[in-house]
Amino acid sequence: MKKPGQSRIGRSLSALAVATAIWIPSLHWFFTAKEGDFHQPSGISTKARQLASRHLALWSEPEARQQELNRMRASNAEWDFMGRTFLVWSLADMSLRNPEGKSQYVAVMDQIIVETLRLEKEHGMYFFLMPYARAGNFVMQPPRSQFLDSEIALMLASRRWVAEKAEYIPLLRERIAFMGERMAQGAVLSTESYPNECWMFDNAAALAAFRLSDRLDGGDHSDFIHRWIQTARAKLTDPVTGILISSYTVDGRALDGPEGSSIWMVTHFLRLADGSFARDQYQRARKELARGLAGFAWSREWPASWQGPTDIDSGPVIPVLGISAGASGMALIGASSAGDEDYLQRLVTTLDFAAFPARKNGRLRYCASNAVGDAALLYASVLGPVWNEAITHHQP
Amino acid sequence: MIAKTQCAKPQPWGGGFLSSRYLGLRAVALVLLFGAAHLAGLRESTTFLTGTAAASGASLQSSAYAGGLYILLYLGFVVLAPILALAAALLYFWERRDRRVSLPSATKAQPTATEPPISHEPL
Repeated sequence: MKKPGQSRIGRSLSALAVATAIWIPSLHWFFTAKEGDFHQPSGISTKARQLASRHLALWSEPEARQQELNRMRASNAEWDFMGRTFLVWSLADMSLRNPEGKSQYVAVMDQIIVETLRLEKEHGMYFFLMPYARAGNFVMQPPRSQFLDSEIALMLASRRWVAEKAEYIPLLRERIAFMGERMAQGAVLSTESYPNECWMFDNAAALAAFRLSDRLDGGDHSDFIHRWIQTARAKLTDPVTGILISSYTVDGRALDGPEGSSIWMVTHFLRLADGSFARDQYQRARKELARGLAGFAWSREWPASWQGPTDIDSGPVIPVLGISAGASGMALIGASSAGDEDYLQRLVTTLDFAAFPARKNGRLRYCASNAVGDAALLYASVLGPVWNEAITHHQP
Repeated sequence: MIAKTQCAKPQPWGGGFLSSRYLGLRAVALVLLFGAAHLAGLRESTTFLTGTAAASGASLQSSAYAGGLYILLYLGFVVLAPILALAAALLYFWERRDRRVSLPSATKAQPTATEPPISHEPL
């Protein structure tokens, strides 16, 4: 016969089990945003407006901006640079979404571009690279980083897409020419971002810059892009998953396998280069990396078949579930670009649950993020118009 | 010889182990702890997840300690406390239901010589 104490504890454990079964599946309701609250087909969503408001304020308050930059540069100088590029790309899309705000957005884009080019000129490319860039020799000479060239080219092209500026025409043409020449020399049609390290992210960004530049200046990189896609399919994909690898040497030897912090953004860049290849890569990434539970979703950094090292791009990875903050942030961009509303909505739910949003004076930031993370989130919430116009051959 | 009087063991202030009171008080404690951490501004330190310190003068290690503590308390607040509160409420209602069911049958039963008479005073 059961003792009274035992039956009471049994009853308590039953109550805890019932409560867990009720609460866990209901939890996401408290964090689920309304549809269109993050990304919407036209106009600017509430969250995007609030995120942008904070970034625009940072570029008008030099002291606050310097504090943010110091915090990020202490960990990674790349983030200083990428915070700029994500913001310029976002402002270009916002200019098309909200023509009334265009003059303000374009003025900030110019401020960022001018300052970035000045810093690059004064301090050299190493100013925006991690220290190990000085540890070895670049294979291709003279040394240049595709990381800087591709993203600066995309900044210039995005700015020109929404409003032409004569001073930027030769600057964009020069970057495009450098990249085209160096990529064509590489065994796998790619060039380095760091000594003997080609990054898929940067080379895919270069393809997007080629496409925008072709539309703007009447060039034609179609043949090169076609060859690049053929080469990537044959030599730069993971044999198990078919997902593009993240980094490789100039002669095409894989360094890092497929990674969530790379592939989601790569699928976005590839949409301009080859829509069907981009869709194929997105579907593969969705199958191998996207995961969800009880209304929440996230991205793994690595597929089950490949385990890489945790690094500055992946951020901390939560064991068992394989949740990666870096990959999940990039997944927001991938899902938004691919129009995958279901995954996007659940990623945003996770963002509001786990990234600790803080609102003040109509400005939004995520405490668990930083300025570059928030700029990437802003881009995920507004991207679309520039790419869509470029894909449909619309001339700005 | 003095007969020993039987009396129920007094319940601790926090309630018996896993009782509704025990669970409810722990839910309240988690809410209060999280509230204190939130008011102390530890939310800012969760930026350590990106490898960034909470302030330009702060060390990443101190941000990690403060941010890690905040995350644990936050999970306690949004995941654990509601489960404890719900379980406490369920237990409370189950106990009340059982009392309602058992009281009428108890009054009908004849007291035995060894059992003390049942009191009909309000509980």
